Amino acid sequence: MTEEAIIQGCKQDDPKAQKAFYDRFAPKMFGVCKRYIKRYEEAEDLLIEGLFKAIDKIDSYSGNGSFEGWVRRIVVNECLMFLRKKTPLSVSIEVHPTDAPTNQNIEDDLAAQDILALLDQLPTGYRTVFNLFVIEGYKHREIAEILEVSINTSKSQLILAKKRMKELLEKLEYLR
Amino acid sequence: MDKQDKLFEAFRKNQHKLEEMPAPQSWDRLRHRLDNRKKQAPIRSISRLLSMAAAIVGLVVLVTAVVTLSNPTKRQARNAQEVPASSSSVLQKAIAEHTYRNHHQLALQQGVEEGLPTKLLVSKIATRPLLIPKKKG
Repeated sequence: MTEEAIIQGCKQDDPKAQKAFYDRFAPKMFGVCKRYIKRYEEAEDLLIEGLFKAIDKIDSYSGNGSFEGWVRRIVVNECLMFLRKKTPLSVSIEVHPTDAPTNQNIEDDLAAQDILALLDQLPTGYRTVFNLFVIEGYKHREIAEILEVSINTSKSQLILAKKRMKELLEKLEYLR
Repeated sequence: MDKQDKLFEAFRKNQHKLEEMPAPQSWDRLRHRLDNRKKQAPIRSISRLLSMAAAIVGLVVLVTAVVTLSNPTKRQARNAQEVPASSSSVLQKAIAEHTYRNHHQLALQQGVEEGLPTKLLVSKIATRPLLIPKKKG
């Protein structure tokens, strides 16, 4: 089923289209949830909630821009709302660590379990900023708005996350 | 911070490895939620209709009350028309008695001045004292 057919089918509450939507987006979006949320079961719950909202609000998809990007934003928002309830992300950390680009070579082939292990080692604030900046591609100004923190807090959390990541990558012998 | 950092690049390149089909029950849970939504939809629309009707009735009652209260002269006129003549005279008598009692009490407390010689203080039965001009001759 094409993406357009899935969208039209979901708008008409067609169960086949809904299943096709799930088959296409559930694996990718589950990956997104796992990056933000440590516990597997919680990540799964948020995935279902996010996909449900995407199907429920499919009429609000204008058709401009990537449909996958639209679904992803809903799922990411779902994760952020969950984290906000659970952890106060707005705690301000105004340290000023120095940042240096990673000069060492990193093995291209990071294993999935190592990526999760690395992310799991980060405190929630670092992990969230890292995901939003590195993977989702948001700017610090946007992250500050989303998480209701200052731009400096977003920057310092990312630098601290990177520092911690490097230490862990060295331990796992990914850095050369 | 440089988005092209090698560490970030490595993460971006490998993030797809986290993709995974969730447990088969996940689809059942999602389908269940979608089915419930369909069942709830008519109930939701009925309750929305009922609440709209209640809001309209409430608005009508409110407007009527405001209009009635803001126009007291009409109401008073209507009430006055409704009061029978006999009750009106009883009311007038009661008011006169009350006024007389008040004046009498005041006079006892303050004393009564004689006033001008051309005037004579005369009491009138069942009404308050009145100062009437003395008749010449």
